[in-house]
Amino acid sequence: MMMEWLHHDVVELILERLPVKSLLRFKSVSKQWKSTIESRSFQERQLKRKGQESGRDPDVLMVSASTDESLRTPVLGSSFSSVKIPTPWDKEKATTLYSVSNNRCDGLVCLYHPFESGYVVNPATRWYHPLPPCQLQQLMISQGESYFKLEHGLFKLGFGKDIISSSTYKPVWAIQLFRDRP
Amino acid sequence: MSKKMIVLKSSEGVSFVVEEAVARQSKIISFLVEEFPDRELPLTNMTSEILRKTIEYCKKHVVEDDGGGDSSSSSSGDLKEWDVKFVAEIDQPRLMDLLMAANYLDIPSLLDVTCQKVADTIAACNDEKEIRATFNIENDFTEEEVEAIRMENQYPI
Repeated sequence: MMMEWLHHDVVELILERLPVKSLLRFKSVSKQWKSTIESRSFQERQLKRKGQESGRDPDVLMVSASTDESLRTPVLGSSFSSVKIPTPWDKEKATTLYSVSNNRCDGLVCLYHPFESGYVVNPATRWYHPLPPCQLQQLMISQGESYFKLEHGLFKLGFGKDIISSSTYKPVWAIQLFRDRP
Repeated sequence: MSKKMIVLKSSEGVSFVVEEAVARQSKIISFLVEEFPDRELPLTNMTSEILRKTIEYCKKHVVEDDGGGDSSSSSSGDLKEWDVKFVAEIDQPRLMDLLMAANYLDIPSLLDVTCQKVADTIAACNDEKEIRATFNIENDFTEEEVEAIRMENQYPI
């Protein structure tokens, strides 16, 4: 029996049992495999199945060549073996200093910057999506340097999954206000 | 009370007499038995060999609800072990046939073990060429496209 005779949904049933690493390597088998592996509905089912099995996110590091250089490169892997993730969203050849959200969710990480659009990135599949600037960022952009005179303090970005709608991910800007400070 | 038997007929016209409880693990047969009781069920797209294998699996997995059946109830650990052995003994083309049969007859547990076995075979392949050769898949990419996909998806070892 040949694979091409199989119904498409059966091919999906087989592929969703493979780890992400194999799926990425085997996108090049055929156009059908590639479009299946890249489809959102397939990825959700694969994630659900793998989540039941292990539930381990990939390791992601942000590295900087030196402390005063504004260059950060996301790297996937461990101390033994790693690979640099391309940053096609960064047109200026990775000169923007992004911070990375402390937590991650379903293998997604969130890169953020005070004055620029942030990105949600899946380091394993190299998928990414820009985030529109939030109100806090808009305030920072409009105020420029004088924003810091507001003494709003430092911000952090959290990132998580909406457990009610279950398929929406949300970044959360957390900020501590110091209005009462003398 | 004697067990109710049903007759399944393969593509070669060979009849298989099986206990209804065994055959009812297929949701499709379960439905057909309700709709057409006392009729031979023709399975025109299944060879005798594959039908025999499918029945063998269903016999092993049948749940005895009247207690004193002749097939002993196996523990889930034993059953898992038996499943692994069952799919390991089948060669690649027949495994695909069995997978198709499980899909067609709607036997979820058999579909699960056959899909897992095929997935394991895929994962063990060294590259996309080996997969194409094993499963007879036509390469519809150009050399450049394959190289582009490879560059895009580097992964730590």
